[in-house]
Amino acid sequence: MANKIILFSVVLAFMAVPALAGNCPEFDAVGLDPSNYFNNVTNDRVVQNNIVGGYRLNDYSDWLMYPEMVNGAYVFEEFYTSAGGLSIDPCFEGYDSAYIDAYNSAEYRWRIILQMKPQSDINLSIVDCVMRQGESDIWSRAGQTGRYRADWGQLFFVPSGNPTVSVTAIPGPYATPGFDEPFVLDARLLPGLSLLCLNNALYTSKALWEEGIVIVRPKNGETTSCGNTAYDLKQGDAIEVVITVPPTSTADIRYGRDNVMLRYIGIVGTYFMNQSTGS
Amino acid sequence: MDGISSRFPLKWIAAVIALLVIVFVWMKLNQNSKVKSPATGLQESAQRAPVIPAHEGSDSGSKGLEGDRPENRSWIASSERALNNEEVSQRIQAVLDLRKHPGAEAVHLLANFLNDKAEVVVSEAIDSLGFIGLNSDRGDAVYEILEEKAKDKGFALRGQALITAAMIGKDRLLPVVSDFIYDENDSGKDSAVRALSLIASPACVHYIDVLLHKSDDSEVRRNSFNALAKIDSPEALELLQKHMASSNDEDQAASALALSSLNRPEVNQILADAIQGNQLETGTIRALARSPAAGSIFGDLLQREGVEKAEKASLLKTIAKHSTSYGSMERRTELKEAVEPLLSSSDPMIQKEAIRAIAGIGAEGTDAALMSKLDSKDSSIRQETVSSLVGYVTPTNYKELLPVIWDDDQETRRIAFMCVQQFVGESDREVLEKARTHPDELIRKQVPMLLDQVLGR
Repeated sequence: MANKIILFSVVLAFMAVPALAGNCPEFDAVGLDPSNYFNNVTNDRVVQNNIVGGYRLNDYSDWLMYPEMVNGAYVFEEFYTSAGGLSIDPCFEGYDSAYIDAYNSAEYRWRIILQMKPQSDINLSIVDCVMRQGESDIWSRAGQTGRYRADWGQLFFVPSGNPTVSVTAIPGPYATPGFDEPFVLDARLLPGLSLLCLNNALYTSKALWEEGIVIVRPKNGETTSCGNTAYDLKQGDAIEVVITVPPTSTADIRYGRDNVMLRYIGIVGTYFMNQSTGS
Repeated sequence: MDGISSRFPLKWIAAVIALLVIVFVWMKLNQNSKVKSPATGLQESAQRAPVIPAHEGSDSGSKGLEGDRPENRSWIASSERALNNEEVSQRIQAVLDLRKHPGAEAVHLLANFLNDKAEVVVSEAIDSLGFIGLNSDRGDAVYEILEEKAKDKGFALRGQALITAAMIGKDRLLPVVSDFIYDENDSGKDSAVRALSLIASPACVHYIDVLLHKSDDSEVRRNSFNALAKIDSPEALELLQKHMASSNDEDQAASALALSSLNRPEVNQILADAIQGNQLETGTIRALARSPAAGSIFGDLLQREGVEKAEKASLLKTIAKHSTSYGSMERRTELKEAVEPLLSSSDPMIQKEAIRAIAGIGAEGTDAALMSKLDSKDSSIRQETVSSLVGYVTPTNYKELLPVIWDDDQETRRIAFMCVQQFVGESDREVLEKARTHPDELIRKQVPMLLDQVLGR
């Protein structure tokens, strides 16, 4: 019996030793991550469980309100759009977004700081509010970009009517050595896993739903599909996502600050936290 | 042993160990439960946050390389203390902070961190060493440390050490890279090719050639071809062309794409010649249609008199289907300009394929290019044009299609009517009133509804 107790105690002792370099889920968005409008149960679990020395990592993530100088680099997050001012979003109650109507072009840009060094590919999540031209009721006039509906009901899908997406990695204060200039990232297509350069890549979005684009985790010294030299991403680096709506867009589209999120597995211990925030 | 057992019964030893474990677990749980209260003030939270990078308050933009002042060297003691800190994140932060002091002491301290028990700390230490090596006069010292680690087969992150050393040491590192090439496993070869890509000197060509002989891994091979393109020496280009002639489809496509990344006239001509000479597989040609050199390669081929009509039609089909998934507007415009001359081809089939290709490319000015074919005398070309214009008709250009609703061809005029009906307004009333007596029954029946619904009559 005593031997069993000893064995159990030793096993328990090993289990209690903290993981030295584990991995954990993390997400990042523009501004304070825990207050993102589109947070769901999963995101809330990440917020609650990503604890650094007794503090919630994501409480220190607001480089939109609190840009700062770190190690000589200006660290900031941003949401910019040429679509005009923010107004009440008809898809999401209590949320503000910028509206671009069909047959008009606009650019939406999100710059997001990575709070951990990614160990995995990064899921780029884009939540969409897309409606048929001139409509405002998502429950009867939901739409898809690139869809063209004739008066007699026939539906066409026109690739040129869709937005394009570009994703760029920007070096932060603790960037991998050699990573001095931004480079365009690759997507890993699902299914199939083939690579595609995320430089003005066509994509389509639907009504209330969320699109998931898998961004390939870059590796030092590799050449991306876009022909750039890639470097490992680190905590503090920024990811810039640009969605361009072409003048041939067939749908009304709205995006706001919170519509884009980066979800990935981070390496425990590699934290990047804003000095000035904390809820 | 029996004596010890009699004096310290096993159950007592077990009890003591269990007690120690409970105390340890309690301490860990207590630490993790210290989630900050929402009521905690901002100032307080900023002071207490444990791993937050220090504010520099500096706007020098020098990436922290401000040098050391002799009177303020407490960072050395701080870093030495961090070496023994239990918290991985604290050790990492100490490593990152050493980037601010790019001198001999920092290099020495970082070398100590290379022996850390956590790989993630070692990885950060390699990065910080690389940063100092590249951004200060400590390059040689850093290089020697990393080279030694890259040679050490017992060092878990020797691949990362190699790649970082490659950025600093360049050709000096090639003998070590060679050791990696001869590694039994593919991870060694993967590190080797990425190091060669960062060195990218003509001396690397020989090593890449050896690597290509020794590795079947498609990622290693793709990176090898890209590294050769980066080196861009006559020997490198010769090796790329050799692999472009390979019967291995993946090698062929990867080497052709690597060549196309150079996007130089003489290289593009080599690629165009290879397509014309039927040396490339369909998959390779499709990949080239997405490359930055697509406009030049395909533009050249489409203008060549020696390329047969069927071949040109096939190239145009490839462009229409495979050039469009991504690409800057500049690339799309180049490709459109390459195809545009064929809109005037004497062959109607080529004209139609050119129309489809231009619609597929999706460059700026697509509408104007396509609308130039609306007055073609060939009804099949007008029909192709109108079909291709679906998706490019907007409130600013729909009026160009209004005359087409009177086209002789039923499908052409009905597609044109479908395209314009969502945009017509008061200024089009005269045209629509006239269409009340349109010979096409579908249009004749739609017009009154359009006048009622859209124009409010």
